[in-house]
Amino acid sequence: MPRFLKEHRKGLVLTGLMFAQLLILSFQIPLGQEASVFERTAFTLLSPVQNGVRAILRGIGGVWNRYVHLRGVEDKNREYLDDILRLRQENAVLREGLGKLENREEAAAFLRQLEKAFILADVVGVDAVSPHKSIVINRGSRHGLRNQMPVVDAQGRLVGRIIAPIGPAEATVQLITDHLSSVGVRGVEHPISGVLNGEPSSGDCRMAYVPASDESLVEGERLVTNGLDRVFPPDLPVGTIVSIRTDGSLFKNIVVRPAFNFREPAVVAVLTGSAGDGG
Amino acid sequence: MRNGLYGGASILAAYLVFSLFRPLSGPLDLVVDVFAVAVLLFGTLRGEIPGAVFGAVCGLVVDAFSLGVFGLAGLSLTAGGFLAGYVSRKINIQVFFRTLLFFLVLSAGTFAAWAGLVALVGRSPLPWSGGLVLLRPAVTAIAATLIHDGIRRIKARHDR
Repeated sequence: MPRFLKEHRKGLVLTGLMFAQLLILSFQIPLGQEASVFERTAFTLLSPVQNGVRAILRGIGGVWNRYVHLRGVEDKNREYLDDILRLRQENAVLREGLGKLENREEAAAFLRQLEKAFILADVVGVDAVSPHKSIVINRGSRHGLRNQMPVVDAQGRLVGRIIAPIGPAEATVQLITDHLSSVGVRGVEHPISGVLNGEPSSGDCRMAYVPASDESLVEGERLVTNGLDRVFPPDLPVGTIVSIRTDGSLFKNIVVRPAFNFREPAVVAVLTGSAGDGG
Repeated sequence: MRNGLYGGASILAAYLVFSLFRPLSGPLDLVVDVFAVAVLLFGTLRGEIPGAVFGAVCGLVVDAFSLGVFGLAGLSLTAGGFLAGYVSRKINIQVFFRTLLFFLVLSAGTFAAWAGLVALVGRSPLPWSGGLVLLRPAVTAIAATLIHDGIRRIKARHDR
């Protein structure tokens, strides 16, 4: 080995490593929002570990909840039985109504479509840098998940959308609180539309492009998706306006608190029926 | 070879802790940086070159599990791992408070480098959460010092 290399081995290794990472950074410029090969590989290889750890934790929790801590189970059972009864009734009424509106074959096809309209998934991980940017779920391309599919929580409140990297059994969800997320929204009481952008630094969102002259939106107003972005279906609950300010610019400064709870969504639903079809 | 095995095992251990800890920790997840702890410790225990390589790989793993520019965390952790190995060979870090100060300076430097890169290259806001994120270097330093001290004590007992 030449003397120079021997003497400066450590510095050269560090320089080489830094240079390799700068190369990775520069490769992303033509890629834009797409995930690089290394990013996809690292995600595909490591996300099953995260999934496994969550499964073990859930198993331990399950043993506790199912076999040891049984307080309130009877009440919950009764509650669920009431819910099932009510939902069955609702289902029967809706099926009957549908049968009247369409011919039988069309109605059956519509119902079959509905059954495949969403995929349930468990949240197995949170963004490594900021919890308000993304989450990882235990469903992936193998289950039919694709880019841009909307994701909602158990109450049907908008959580985000599927984004690359998507592994065979795990996928990344960009939360609506990520600064690169944009959602078309409107008020429930006053149908003024705007664009909702995330603010990962605070976990809140901002509603942009509402003219400063508009006086209809008020604090406490609930917002839903308007469907104009052709990614999220209309009328999904998004959040509540917590403050409105006018600071001399053309548009209002509106802060929105997301409807979903960051610590709550253990289970989410991916709306597979609405990807790319504009809801 | 030995460094490679240690490195692989350490990455897996750090990743397991990250997976275990992350969804449970609530607001604390901004404060604890498992990978920074692993990189600083690995650099200190194994030397500057293994530290830098370990930092590079850990950084890429962090970036694979975060939205944003891929490779940003790698740059700061590579430098952090290298410096941990380099400086720990030049000074005595066998005293608890000196070790704490050593890790505090390094973790603050790594954090500042990462925050600067995120703001400059990533053009994204830092996850401030009311300033909670600023506690990250201190928590990283305390965690690294406690583990380092534990390893030192185990080694000393083993040598006896």
